[in-house]
Amino acid sequence: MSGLGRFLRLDDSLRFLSREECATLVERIRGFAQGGGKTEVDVTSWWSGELRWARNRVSLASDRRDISVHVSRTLPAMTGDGNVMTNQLDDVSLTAAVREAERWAHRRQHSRTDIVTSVPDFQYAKPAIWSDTSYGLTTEERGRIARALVDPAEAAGMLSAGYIEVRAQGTASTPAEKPLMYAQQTTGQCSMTVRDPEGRGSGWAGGSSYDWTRIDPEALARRALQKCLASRNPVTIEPGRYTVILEPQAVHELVVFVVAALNDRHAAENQPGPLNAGYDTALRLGRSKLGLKVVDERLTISHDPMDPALGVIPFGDDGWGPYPVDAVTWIDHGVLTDLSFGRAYAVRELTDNVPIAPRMAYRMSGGPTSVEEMIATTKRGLLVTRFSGVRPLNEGLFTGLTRDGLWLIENGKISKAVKNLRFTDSPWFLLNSLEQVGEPVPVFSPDAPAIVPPLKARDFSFTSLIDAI
Amino acid sequence: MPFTRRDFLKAGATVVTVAAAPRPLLVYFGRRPEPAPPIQDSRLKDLAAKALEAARGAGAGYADVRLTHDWSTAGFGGAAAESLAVGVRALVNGYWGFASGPVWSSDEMARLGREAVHQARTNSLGNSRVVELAPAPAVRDGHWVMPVKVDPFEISPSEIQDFLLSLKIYTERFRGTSVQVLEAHFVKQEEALASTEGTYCTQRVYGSSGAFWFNLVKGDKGLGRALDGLTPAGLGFERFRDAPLREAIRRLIAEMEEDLTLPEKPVDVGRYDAVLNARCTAGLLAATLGPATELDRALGYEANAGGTSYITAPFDMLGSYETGAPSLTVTANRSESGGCATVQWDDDGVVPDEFTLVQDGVLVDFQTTRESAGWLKGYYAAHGRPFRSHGCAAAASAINAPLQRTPNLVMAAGSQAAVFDDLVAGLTAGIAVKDMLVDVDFQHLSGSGRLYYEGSRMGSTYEVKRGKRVARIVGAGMLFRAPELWKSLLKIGGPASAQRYGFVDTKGEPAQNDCHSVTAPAAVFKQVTLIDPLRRA
Amino acid sequence: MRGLHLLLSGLVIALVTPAAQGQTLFATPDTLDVARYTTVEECLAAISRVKDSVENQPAWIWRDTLPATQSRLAADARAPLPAPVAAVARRCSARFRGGAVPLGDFAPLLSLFLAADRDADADTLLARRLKEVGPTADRERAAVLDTAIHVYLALNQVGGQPFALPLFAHPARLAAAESLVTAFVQIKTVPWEARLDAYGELAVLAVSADTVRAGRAAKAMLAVVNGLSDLERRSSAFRSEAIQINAALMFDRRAALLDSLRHSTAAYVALWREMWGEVAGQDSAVLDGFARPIGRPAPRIKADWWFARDDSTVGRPVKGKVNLVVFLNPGDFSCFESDDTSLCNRTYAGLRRVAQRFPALEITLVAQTYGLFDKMAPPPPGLEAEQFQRAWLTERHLPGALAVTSTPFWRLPAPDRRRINRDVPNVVQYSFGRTWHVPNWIFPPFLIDQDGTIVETAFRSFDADLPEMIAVLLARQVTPPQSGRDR
Repeated sequence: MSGLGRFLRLDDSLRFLSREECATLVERIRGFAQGGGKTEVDVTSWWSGELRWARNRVSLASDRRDISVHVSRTLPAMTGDGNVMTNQLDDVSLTAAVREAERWAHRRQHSRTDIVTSVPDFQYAKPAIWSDTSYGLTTEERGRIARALVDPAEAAGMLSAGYIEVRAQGTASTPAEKPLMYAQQTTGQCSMTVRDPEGRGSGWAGGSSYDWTRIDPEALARRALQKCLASRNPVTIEPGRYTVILEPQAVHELVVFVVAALNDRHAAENQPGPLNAGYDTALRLGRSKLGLKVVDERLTISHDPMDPALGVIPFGDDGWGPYPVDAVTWIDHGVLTDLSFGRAYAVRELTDNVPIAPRMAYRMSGGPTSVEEMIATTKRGLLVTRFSGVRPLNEGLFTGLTRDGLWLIENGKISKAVKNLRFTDSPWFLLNSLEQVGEPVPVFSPDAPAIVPPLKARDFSFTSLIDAI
Repeated sequence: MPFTRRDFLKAGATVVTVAAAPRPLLVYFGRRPEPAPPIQDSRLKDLAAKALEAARGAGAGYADVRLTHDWSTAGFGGAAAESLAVGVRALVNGYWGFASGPVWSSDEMARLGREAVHQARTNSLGNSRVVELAPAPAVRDGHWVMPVKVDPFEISPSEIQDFLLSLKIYTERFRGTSVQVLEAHFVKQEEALASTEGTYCTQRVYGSSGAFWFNLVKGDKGLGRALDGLTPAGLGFERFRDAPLREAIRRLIAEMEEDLTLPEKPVDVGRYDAVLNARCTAGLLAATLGPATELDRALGYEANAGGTSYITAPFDMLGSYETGAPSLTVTANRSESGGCATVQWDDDGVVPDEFTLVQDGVLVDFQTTRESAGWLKGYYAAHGRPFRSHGCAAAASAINAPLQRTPNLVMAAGSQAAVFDDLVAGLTAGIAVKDMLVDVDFQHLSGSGRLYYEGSRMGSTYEVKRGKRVARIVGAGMLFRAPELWKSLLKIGGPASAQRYGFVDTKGEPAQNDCHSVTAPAAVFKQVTLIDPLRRA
Repeated sequence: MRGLHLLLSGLVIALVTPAAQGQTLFATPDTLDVARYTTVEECLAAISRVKDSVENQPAWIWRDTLPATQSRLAADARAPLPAPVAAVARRCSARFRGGAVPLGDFAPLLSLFLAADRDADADTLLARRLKEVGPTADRERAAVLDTAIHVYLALNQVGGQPFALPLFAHPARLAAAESLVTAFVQIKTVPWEARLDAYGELAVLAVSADTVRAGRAAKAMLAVVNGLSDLERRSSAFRSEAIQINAALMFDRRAALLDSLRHSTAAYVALWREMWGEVAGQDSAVLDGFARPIGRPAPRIKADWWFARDDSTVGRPVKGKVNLVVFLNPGDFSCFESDDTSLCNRTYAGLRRVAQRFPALEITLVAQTYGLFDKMAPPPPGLEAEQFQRAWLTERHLPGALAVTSTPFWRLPAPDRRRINRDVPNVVQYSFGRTWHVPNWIFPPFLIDQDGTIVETAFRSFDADLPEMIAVLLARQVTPPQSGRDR
């Protein structure tokens, strides 16, 4: 009854379900089950404090919270499972949800049973994903921060739009016959776009972290304003191949697709794509480029959940049982050293119980060259703030647009702001055409933290002009 | 101890008695919880009133509260779901605050009412902001149910499954076919809305969508296509059961067979007159003019998220800006039967009207809510038009704050009775396109249309010579710039060429999804730029 | 609109396999009334659903590497549809009358009528369809008859591909099918492989229920084969029909075969060689297609671990006794979660019946480790071997001694590290220089006589062909044949 009572009177002291509350909830739900078999319950509860502004004034401030209880019932002697979701915590609603899941279990059959038997117990890391500061960032403080961000833009005669959010979430997962896994985490984000009122220019900056103190909103505001002012009245340049200096955010927007590929070993071995090395007819299996150099040797792409800036929820479950999220180095000095895979792959292909958990958080190694030095050593090139709308065209090739600041560099100096361009290129080509690499910094990535350097690369392909600002 | 059949039967017997009843979620009207009643129950009005009372008491100038009860069937990989939500919005001195949660109880109503005001108050911090809500008559106890013929939540899921499987069986009778994807998904929402202006209305809306993709292989050649007409819509199960799907399947197979007889050609970049079918035209409209005429977007309220609009000076351009050819007229509504955005009242409590966005090519209005209509007060007054919201406020559920969202759009068909094939027949040389994936920039200005899907060969772009489709073009893309595109309309297909499609879009921070329909005819565009999208510079 | 956020624009994720939806009649108080369905396909869909749920079958059907001429189809064909399924079929089909329905719906309607036990309506419909085709449109006639044969025999597989319609003729309509096959093979445009297959399907389904009919079908198959030219016999089509032809020979000549087996294994083998010579000619390339390792000495079974073996000093197969050597896994892994009506457990039950009937039979189960068991990668292979013992001997009560080899393997170098299994001696030996494909699950076994000679590797099931042969071999053991009658 504890969770029930508390949610009748939500207050600021605890805005989402704790481990104990989730554990009690799961026990109650399991108690409602009829007909034996297995019951798996996932509970997610979250609170979010939000503040949005546009045209230099706050447009909406919110305090929201919700719960999601996902019940999965697998009945004995049947191969199907029923899944149902509800957001209520009382006995009646949960009993009804369990019954509905049982009804679906009767109706549905899978192509293969996934009843997990005796998966080993793992130790889970305790990454840094919770910040009291983030959780305690009050409505008033959010308002004050926003005010401090907007004022400089307004004073400069520009229009600022942006968003601040702090969010806390409790995630509980109970694979059948395993102890409850629980994580509580906070995420904070702050981003803004400053635009010229005549629409002649636009600048953007953003930051995110589980720990609000790692975000410097005022620095972001200064950067967004500076870019806006510097981006005004862009001129047209011809599409073509250019040397590009990509700020970390732009690099991130391309490298996420690389990281997605690094997270799927099975696809790399069996599907055409940049990491595939074809089918080995003698051994009768697909090969990936594991062990081969795939990008510039200056690059190492890895993730360690215990990295203070890169914490993620330390467990996963892909239907074959839970597993830990441990450190991984996918690319080591350019060489593909690992690819993530789930438990099914681990057991079947490697006869190993421990997968390399897929995750989208990552750290990319850097180098000594600052962006200023990159500019100074560029005869002709483009400086890119970020990309927008990046989409795959096929397994390796992507298209997208530059946004919020694009400058032409001539003879070591920024010469003018230029109009946005559409690119058609591949992050894999990019990472093989590097000239200089800079110092990695955290980028704006609220869903999965990332630390990314700026890069200079040659022959980046811009294929058409867009005059959107 | 192995589970015995007898245990199973015993369990089954118990399941029988409970499962027949609807699944109750609980509401705490007073001290004891009760199953969530149908949305017209008067006790919900009392609950809502408590939220408004609390908001008023805390100093709100205006407040509204939404209670939603959502149902969703399993489908597209998701689980069957049911949830309750309540959200209060408060306006204090021009600033909005919002608070929401999952519990329907008196205490929660009061807490959310106070919290919404707390959120609103915190943000003024000395800066002034003016919000003038366009007037809207208060709704006195209105109730509306979206008319659907078959409520998908009142029939057995087995009937839905049998129907889907029967489509597969029917299709696979045709030699060489194999069904790849077969999904149906339904949602239902009951919502109660109350405001401090005395509005109280309740409504129940439905939504459905599906996907039906199959391959046709003949010899060593093959094609994959998706059945048209299953995009999201405000319809019940009848949109599957009573729709002429078999006829559509037969027609699609015939088209695919014909396509397989055509030679394939790589794209020859250049400019071509292009006949686009309704699906492409609707997609282009949904990507360009749809978002571009959202007034809040045009004024920069989405600048940090989806972007802005190419209608860069909304107040100046209104009434004069040529968005397209004189043959282009686009109207908007939230009333068409089966429309994805169709409601009786929007999330401001306004009865949406049917209005014209583009008349004979000229921009004549914007999509508005009560707040954004307020920005057009002067314009409307100067032009003798009523000062009212067009009713475009929508929240995905009560957990989310209402945002301005796109209503159903209708691009007027041409007066002559031409369908896609007629338009192709009238083309001396050019291309014809039956499917397109549209991408636009953050001003909804320039975009690319991908006319094929790599690997799956789902695209259908044709070379046309002397009115006949003579070859399939593989690997084509197109580039466009919205104003030039719509100005290049050469011909518009007749009413029989018009089809309706549902689009799900994301907007806002935090992001919310919303659905609207676009009805568009087939059309001929002059000198469209065809590119090879895979070619690097 | 609200809630439709699950409909992510354009990206569809999951494939629902509607054929696999089940509804258990006991538990679901469905208000559904199939009498309201207006199309044949919906009726077929409803029957599928109810059949799946009542039989509780896993939707994933294990496919053995043998052709569909063996026990699975035979057993299925014998049983009628479960009562609830037949009831749904009858109720849903009530609105369709044989004489009046549009012929465009011919095939699904045929299936529906047979599911509903309305054979007269099915026959009428078929007759109408054939009349519509006319007597001279050979190809079309052949296609209609081919479809009808599949429907009447409920042949859900066509050369490895599923048939385009759900079929429910249980029991298989053998008499009707036989006359259809007779008409089918007379059509000039029907190639000899199709004629052979048509008789073959009929024979397989008839062998258990109607041996006279099966005999006719087997004879007809052999007549087709005899009518072939040398060129046709050298074709790849002929090679792929070898198994069908073997089955026909086995059935048609069973008396002579058993007789020769009573004399000696050598006589049995010699008779086979003679029969192959008849059907295949002397071309060794063609003969290879028929080859089975019968008459070869059965290699000694080696193992790293033995379970349930009485005497460790005695080599297996046991000299002086009649033996079955049964290879297990990796296919059996999929059997671990099957329920009682699955193919796996039915086959296991067959082996148990054989062991019960013939206590003098020595059975050796042969398995190897893979470094994984079910969803776990176990520690040492010894532990995996013990898991085999638990799964097969203790839980599934498989008879015999269990021999487990630790599979040698190597790993691709880091970072790939995938395990590549090497051949194990038992499999290598029993492949006889890669001329025989050792089954990767329990069926078929190797039958070995008292002298350690392999007698046979092809049987219809554990319950058919095999018991008669075991009985003959055991009788031979008791009463050795008189010399002089050996060939």
